[in-house]
Amino acid sequence: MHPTIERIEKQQLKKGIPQFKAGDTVKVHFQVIEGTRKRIQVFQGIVIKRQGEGVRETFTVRKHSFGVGVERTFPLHSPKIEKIEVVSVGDVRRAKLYYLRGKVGKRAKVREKKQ
Amino acid sequence: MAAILGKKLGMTQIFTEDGDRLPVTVIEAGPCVITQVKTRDRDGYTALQMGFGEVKERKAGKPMAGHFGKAGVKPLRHLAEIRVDLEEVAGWVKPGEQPGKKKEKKARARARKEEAREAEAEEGEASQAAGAEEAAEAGPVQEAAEPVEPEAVPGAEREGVPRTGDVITVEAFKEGQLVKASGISKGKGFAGVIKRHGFAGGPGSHGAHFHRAPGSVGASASPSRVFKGLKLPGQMGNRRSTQRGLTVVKTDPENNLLFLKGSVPGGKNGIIFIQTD
Repeated sequence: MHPTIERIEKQQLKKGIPQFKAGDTVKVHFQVIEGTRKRIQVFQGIVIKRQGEGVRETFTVRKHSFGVGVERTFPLHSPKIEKIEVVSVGDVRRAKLYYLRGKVGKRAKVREKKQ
Repeated sequence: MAAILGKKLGMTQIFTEDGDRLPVTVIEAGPCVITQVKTRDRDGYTALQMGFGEVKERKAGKPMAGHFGKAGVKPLRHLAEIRVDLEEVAGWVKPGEQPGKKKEKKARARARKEEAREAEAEEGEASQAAGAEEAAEAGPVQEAAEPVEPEAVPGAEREGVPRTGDVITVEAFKEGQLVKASGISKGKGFAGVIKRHGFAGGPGSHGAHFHRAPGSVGASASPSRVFKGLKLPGQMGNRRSTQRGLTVVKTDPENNLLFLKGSVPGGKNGIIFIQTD
């Protein structure tokens, strides 16, 4: 990458992002703009992947909502993300948990890491 | 009408104030130096020639060294020309620094003398040409009725007329402006019709014998030839291409950077010519 572009990206990096990886359960506080009103929406679920680097990094959170699997991808450094809370740390053996997509209920769970 | 030469640094994304992501191409644009001012009576048309990118003085070939010497500017690697009305460019061409060296000064004096001559000639001609131009432009627009005031004093350098040595920077462009970017596209080599022209091709299996071939190239006895311009395999890319309708997202005059929304022809370090669209 060109050093100038690296510098541009570095300027936009957000500070204070908690450490989390695939398998962790997180709460994402995301700003939603409805017309002129702003409100915070919380999206809680299991992180199934982190992708990209620098400002372009994104992560995908998966949850079940009314029996339907829902996935949402957030830009990690988006100013729209108010806060990311790590609810629990998962014990997984891979970086991308695509296998969760085919599973429902008890099988779609991720073991919690023992302290 | 504004134009500038630059180097494509690459693509990235930036967040807008609303928090949306924008894909941007970062271009190191300018500063470009005016290397030649083309006038109607000498060249038959009015245009500005600008240069970009440093090159060592000893590396500039004799003909180019002469060209730059005449303009009184340092040798530059890339040149581009844009056709403009010389009176209209005042907004984006800024007076350049006067080079300090003696030799250059001499060249500059010569250039200036020439310039003065040009300006003079242009004045006389401008009033004629402008009149004609205005008449031509008139059409449905009402403002054509008023004649051009010949207020400029002959011989004096006219305000706003660019000279060699003047500089163009990214400040010539405003945020939100629409521009077009031209450059040499990435070469794809000798490509077939599917890649080059988007033909559908045939089935891959089930006994098919037609896969990626172009198929029929025309009819038989009439016209008993293949039409010109028929889409066939050949060299793809590595030719000048222009992307229109790009928005200027941001300018950074301090670092000579131009941020355009979307992609621009060519690879990294390619030379891009940007003009208002």
